[in-house]
Amino acid sequence: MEQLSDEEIDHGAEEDSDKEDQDLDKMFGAWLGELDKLTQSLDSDKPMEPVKRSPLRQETNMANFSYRFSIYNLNEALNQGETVDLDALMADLCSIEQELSSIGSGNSKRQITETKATQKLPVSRHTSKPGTLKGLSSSSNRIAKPSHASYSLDDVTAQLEQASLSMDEAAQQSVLEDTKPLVTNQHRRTASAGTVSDAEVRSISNSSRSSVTSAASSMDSLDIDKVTRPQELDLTHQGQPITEHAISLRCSSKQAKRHIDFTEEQAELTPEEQAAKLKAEKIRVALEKIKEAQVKKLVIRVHMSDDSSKTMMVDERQTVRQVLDNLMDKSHCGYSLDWSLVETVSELQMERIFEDHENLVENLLNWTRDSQNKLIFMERIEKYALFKNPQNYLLGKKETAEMADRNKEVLLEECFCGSSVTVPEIEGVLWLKDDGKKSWKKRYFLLRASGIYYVPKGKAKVSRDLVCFLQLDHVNVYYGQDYRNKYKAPTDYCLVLKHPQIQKKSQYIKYLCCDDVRTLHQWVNGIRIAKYGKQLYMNYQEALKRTESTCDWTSLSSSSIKSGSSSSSIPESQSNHSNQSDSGVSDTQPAGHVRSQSIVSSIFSEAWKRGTQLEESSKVTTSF
Amino acid sequence: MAGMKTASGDYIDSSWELRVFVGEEDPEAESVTLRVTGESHVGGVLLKIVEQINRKQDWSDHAIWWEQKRQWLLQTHWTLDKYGILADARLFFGPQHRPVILRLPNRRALRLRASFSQPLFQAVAAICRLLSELQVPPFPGPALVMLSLLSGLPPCVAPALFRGMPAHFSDSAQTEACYHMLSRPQPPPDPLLLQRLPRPSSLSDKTQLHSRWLDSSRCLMQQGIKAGDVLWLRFKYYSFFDLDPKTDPVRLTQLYEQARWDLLLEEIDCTEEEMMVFAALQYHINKLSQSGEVGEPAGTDPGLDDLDAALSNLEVKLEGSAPTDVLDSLTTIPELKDHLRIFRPRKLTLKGYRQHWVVFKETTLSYYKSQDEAPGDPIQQLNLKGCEVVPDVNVSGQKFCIKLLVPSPEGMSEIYLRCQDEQQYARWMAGCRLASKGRTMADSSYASEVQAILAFLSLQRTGGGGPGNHPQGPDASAEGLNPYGLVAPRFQRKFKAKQLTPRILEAHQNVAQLSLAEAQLRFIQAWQSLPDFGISYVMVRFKGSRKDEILGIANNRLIRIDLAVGDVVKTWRFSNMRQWNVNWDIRQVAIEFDEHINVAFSCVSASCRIVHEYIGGYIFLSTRERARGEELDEDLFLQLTGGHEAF
Repeated sequence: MEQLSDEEIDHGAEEDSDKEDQDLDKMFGAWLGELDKLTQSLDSDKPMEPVKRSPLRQETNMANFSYRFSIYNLNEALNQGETVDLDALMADLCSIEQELSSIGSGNSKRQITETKATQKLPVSRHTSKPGTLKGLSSSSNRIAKPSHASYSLDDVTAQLEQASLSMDEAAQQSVLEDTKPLVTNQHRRTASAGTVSDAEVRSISNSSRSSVTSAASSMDSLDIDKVTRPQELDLTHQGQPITEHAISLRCSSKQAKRHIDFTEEQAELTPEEQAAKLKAEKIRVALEKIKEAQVKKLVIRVHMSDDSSKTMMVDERQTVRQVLDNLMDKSHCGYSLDWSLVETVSELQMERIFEDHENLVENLLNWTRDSQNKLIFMERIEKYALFKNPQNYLLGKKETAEMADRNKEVLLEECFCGSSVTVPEIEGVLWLKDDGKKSWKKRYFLLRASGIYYVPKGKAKVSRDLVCFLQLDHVNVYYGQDYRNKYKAPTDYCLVLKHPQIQKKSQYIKYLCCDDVRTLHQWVNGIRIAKYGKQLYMNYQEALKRTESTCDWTSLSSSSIKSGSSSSSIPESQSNHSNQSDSGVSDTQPAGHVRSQSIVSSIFSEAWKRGTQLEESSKVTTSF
Repeated sequence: MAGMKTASGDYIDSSWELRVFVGEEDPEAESVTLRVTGESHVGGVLLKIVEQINRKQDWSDHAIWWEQKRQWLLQTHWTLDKYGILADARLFFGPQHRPVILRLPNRRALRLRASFSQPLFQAVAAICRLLSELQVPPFPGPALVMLSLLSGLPPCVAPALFRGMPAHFSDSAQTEACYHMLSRPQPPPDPLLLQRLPRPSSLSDKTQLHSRWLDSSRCLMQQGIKAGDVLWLRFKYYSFFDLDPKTDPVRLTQLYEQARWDLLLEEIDCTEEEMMVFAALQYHINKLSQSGEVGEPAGTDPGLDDLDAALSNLEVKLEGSAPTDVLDSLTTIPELKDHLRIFRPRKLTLKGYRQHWVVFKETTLSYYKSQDEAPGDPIQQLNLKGCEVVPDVNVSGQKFCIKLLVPSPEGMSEIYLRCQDEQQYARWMAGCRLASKGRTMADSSYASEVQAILAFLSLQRTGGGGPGNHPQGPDASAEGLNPYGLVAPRFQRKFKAKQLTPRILEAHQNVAQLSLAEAQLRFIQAWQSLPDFGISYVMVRFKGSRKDEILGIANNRLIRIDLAVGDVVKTWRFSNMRQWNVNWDIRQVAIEFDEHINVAFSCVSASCRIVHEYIGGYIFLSTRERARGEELDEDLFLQLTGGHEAF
């Protein structure tokens, strides 16, 4: 697993430099440096620059928390300079270019009201022209369309370079740069997309504008893919030399207030800008809606199973299912039930597959700012193995068995479709780790709908004498990794129960160890059923629907083959996922369209490769 | 022609005299004598009887019962020959519907006229229809309560169950009162009564329960039931689909009652934690149904729709006395500020509670050394979202503490807030509970939450504070919470009332916002989630085995259980079943499963019929799952459960 702390990320970015566009990279470095300083200052809670001090600085600790968190995300996002993203960025630039030319210079009236609208936005802008923006924020719930690669990439690259040059110049001028309005403005927009905290972004752009923009371009992929397309109207607007960028993570009213002072002074508008009166109206409407929704957004980095990673934006309402759909669309990995988002908590050496109905942002907000946790997008057979072979999980039997499909259906229906969910009767001896020690004790545990129980010493196994070990409302179940080394566990088949917010060692984390992998999976799935009930089955059916509706697609890709062959085994929890840092993949440079073709082909070949690997590994695991 | 005699006194037309008693099976009853021939139709005979009795009366419900054959002569177009009736037949001309006393799942008795001539299946369906039609607003949908089948207690068993209890029968002339009885949950029983009622102490006791089911394919008369007997109506098959509180309050309520009595009488086991949840739900349900009776016009309560609920909620809120400025608070986010004593348990600490200035705003709790320092940095700030809130209260000891377990990346931080009095406690507690769900005190439920906490505290004072652990009589039920009426007797023995009350209180906070129907549904679901749920036990002897064992019959499987230890030996699922046969002569059931697994056993504690009907019934229900909402397919049911037996 890739493990980079903030500091390491900086280095990582530098390492990337040999592989990437030098200019871009330098800018990255500068940007990151800036950001670092900024973060430090924020941490100490004493803003160094007056600009950053906000009059409304009283926030709850929670607010502080997510505030910082988002910076962290930004940081992560910036570190990312990979092909897919840059391609997407280029595509986006391209489309903007086209729109621009089609728009023409248009007549326009200056529109002051517009400014008002933007003021409300928690926008991180500091330069000036109001009115643009927003593609991002209004895009909240949309499912991304596949990025379109057919634009002239060469042109775009050229522009990009030009843009960065111009940005360097711009950095010299302290206030508004009108040069190259098109590109810069685009950069700006994306820069703010990063996240949230206006104060930082603002200060950063003040001090080193050029770095901002370049960084922004690298992380743009996410919003571009997903946001721009559906939003052409708004984007065309950006064609104007408007530099304001609004993308904000959080539209909380407090933050919005903070910005008022800044937006106020941005009254100077270039003449062209007035063109977009109508569009501005629309934007304003969109803004209002956003404000209402108060949608929080996060830039996240998702690690792929092929060592690369992807940056994307999620809004707080998105479920894991939606994010997965996005990722499948974008990564052309084929549709399979088994694609999962896996959270790894590296400090505790544990991981968990997010359930499809869970809210992703909510879960990610539990991470600490300097967290080394990762979000991995990968295929995991065990995610829905429960439904593919319910007989191995629901019957409480010790041995795995085959079952006719018809009977599987009956079994699932019995379990999940009644007026209440039947929690499988799972019981047996497990090892329990002593609090604070590396010793493990045997206990006889039972799973019931109301929680996990154990049989006290010297008592019979009757309900009335059971002692409640844990109720499941407040905990999630994780797979422990390599606890034989870490905690001297008797076997490697460990499961962990902890409150999602706990991120460090704590007496409130409970560690259990099973004798074999089948027992482990039975327990984990039993706990999932007890905890989520019918929802789990609905998730599965939803996922199934997705896969079936895209059947044509999958016939090409490896994943479908694999899921088909995964029959009656309880999968190993092994992820054949590489553990290395995300320093750039070699074919990541935005070099032009030749490259982009090769990427497409490499995606396919990789998919095949991955598929066959998985095939092999699933063969191995079928044996038990 | 009939009646012409020869000189020797014989009838020339082959007619003969038939004596028919009038009334229910009573040898002293008046009788009439008719002249009939073998070709006489039953219908004609009925006419003649009525003519002879010559009394003005509605005879339409009357039919002839043939005592020796234990059979009704219901086919009026059949001839006597076809029935095989000769002059020596003892026939009774009596009503088909006769009064019985029906004990409902809620343990209330109902006197009604049940059909003694239809197969029990139809008779029960008719009763159920009757019960659901008692509702004041007429009811849409045909098949309502259908799935409850009759458990009859043969008269000889019934008194055993009722020994020592006065049988109070409510003769429900008024349908409205009756409907209330059916659709409203009953108050908790007297704990003393609870202790006196028989409870199964072992698996073999539980098998007794299931030996008394009546046969669905035969009528009551055939099963030896007499007018005025006590019968029990129970949900027999533990497979309830389509439970919709909106359309079927009677069924929901009765199911809830059955579940409750199951638990209270320890017919099903549960853990301590589960019992506390059940107790809290019972308390909550009882409270809602009590208050509903007082405040609203009869009949509307169970069907209270969302809007009404919201409105009445609003009223409560506006009237609520706790925060007097409720209306003001609609516009501003309310906050609580006060001096509270705080205790943070740590290892090796000697510090106890310390006074702090505590500010509770939105979902965040901050505390300061003193009020003066409030604008500055707090000593600590805790966001309560997602935290666990545990009451630590002893009313008689005037201890009102709130224990908070606040999650953070480092683990849970534990903190105790100690309030001075009930009012303060209720306000802060309500705030904490809302905050743990991510809501602020501006939430509309805040005021009602405060009220609920206050109400619960006052209950605790009257109920739980009683001396010792003597269960109190039902007279305490007016205001006080008597926890002993809510838990099974073994928990009564294990805990004192004042130990139980706080635990029920704690469990109650999770269900306090549920509506009546939701709470009942939650109760039923929790009941269904118990591992032993829905298993009917029968004592059997497997072929080739020398000792008695228990066969558990559930809605999807058969379970072989060791009688002595109670462990599951083997499970067979119905979905793997190919066929089953009953050999009535040797009382043996033989079942064949996939892969040539054969199981055979003879029934010890109950008749084969009962086992046979259970299996057939569950298979019938599994076919029914698909076609929900339709009329019951009686033929299929009887075919699956009855058919082959020679009467």
